[in-house]
Amino acid sequence: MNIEASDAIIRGLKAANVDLVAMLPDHGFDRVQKTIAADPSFTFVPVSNEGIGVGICAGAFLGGKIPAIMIPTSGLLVATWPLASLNNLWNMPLLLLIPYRGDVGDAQPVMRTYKFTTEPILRDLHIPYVIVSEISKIEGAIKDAVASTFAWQNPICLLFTGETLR
Amino acid sequence: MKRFDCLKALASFTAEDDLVVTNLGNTPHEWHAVRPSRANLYGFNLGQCTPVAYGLALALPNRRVIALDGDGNLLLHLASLADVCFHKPANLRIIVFDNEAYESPGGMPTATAHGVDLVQIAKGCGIQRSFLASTIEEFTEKIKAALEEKELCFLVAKIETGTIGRTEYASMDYKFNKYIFASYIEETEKRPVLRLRSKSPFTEK
Repeated sequence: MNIEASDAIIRGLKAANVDLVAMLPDHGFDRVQKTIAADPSFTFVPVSNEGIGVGICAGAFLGGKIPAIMIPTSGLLVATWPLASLNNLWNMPLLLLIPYRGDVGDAQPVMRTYKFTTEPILRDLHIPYVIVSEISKIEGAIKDAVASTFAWQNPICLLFTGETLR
Repeated sequence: MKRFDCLKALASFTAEDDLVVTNLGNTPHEWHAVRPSRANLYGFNLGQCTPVAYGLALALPNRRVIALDGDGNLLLHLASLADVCFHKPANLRIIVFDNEAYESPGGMPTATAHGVDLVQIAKGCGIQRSFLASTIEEFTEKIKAALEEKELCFLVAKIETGTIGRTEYASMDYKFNKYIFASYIEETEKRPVLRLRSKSPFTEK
């Protein structure tokens, strides 16, 4: 992810009043994750397992925070258990930010699997998602997703691809 | 040692505004029997009790948060003990009722039945105040001290299997529990939690 896209994510998170970010390191989000870790306006919560991060965000929400989780595309597979048994059963809001590795054009054999898992899993978990492929759309997409995740009391996912990841 | 006796001891030391997060299984029924409260969150499924309590403790650093976890539940996301140590919230207490069994689904042994030592794991993760209690006297002493201290604490209570007669408790419907708890936090902390809205940003002027 280039510096313009990283800056747009930070602006979007701040504009939406996101104040806690759980994350597992990801190559696609390397720059933005380091920026968040160093920015005192966010409670930065590193995790060893995406499922733990989902639980932490649920607790933070119940305490009045506006949480987000930034995880690798592969991490969505790890997070499915709490997304189903916690977010779905309890109607917990959550902003999920995921670099859409394996999207068409991300021509690397190891990433191919995620084209076949990412969107179907989000649909099966009843998690609405928006595919964001232009840097100019990032900030607005984050603000819209946070508004909807609270209004619907349901997770919303943004998948970053195309121009935003190059 | 029976879990219900431990919970009665715990309830005698907790404050009205302590936030208590329980795992799934028999613990929520027993805790509701000794301390029914809007400040309780009941029944987090495998691996999620301690992470939810950690998130709550980060969000509300001035409130004491008590996780009532179990050995099987914690083991699924054992790394949550490592993750908790990034912030080491001083307002978080993690109590694990260790019956060495997955009791609810039939009683097959957990890893602690084969010698896995959760106290040593917690210490290895960096939770210095990690203790074992094998008798109700030890539990009472340790939990009283843990609640008085201003430091992250981890306490394993070795208990027998078995439970009290199942009582009605407020919120087996999780959404109902969420709204009760969230409204309690909004009321007592004077801050928004649910952030529900009646108008869409698409139509707001």
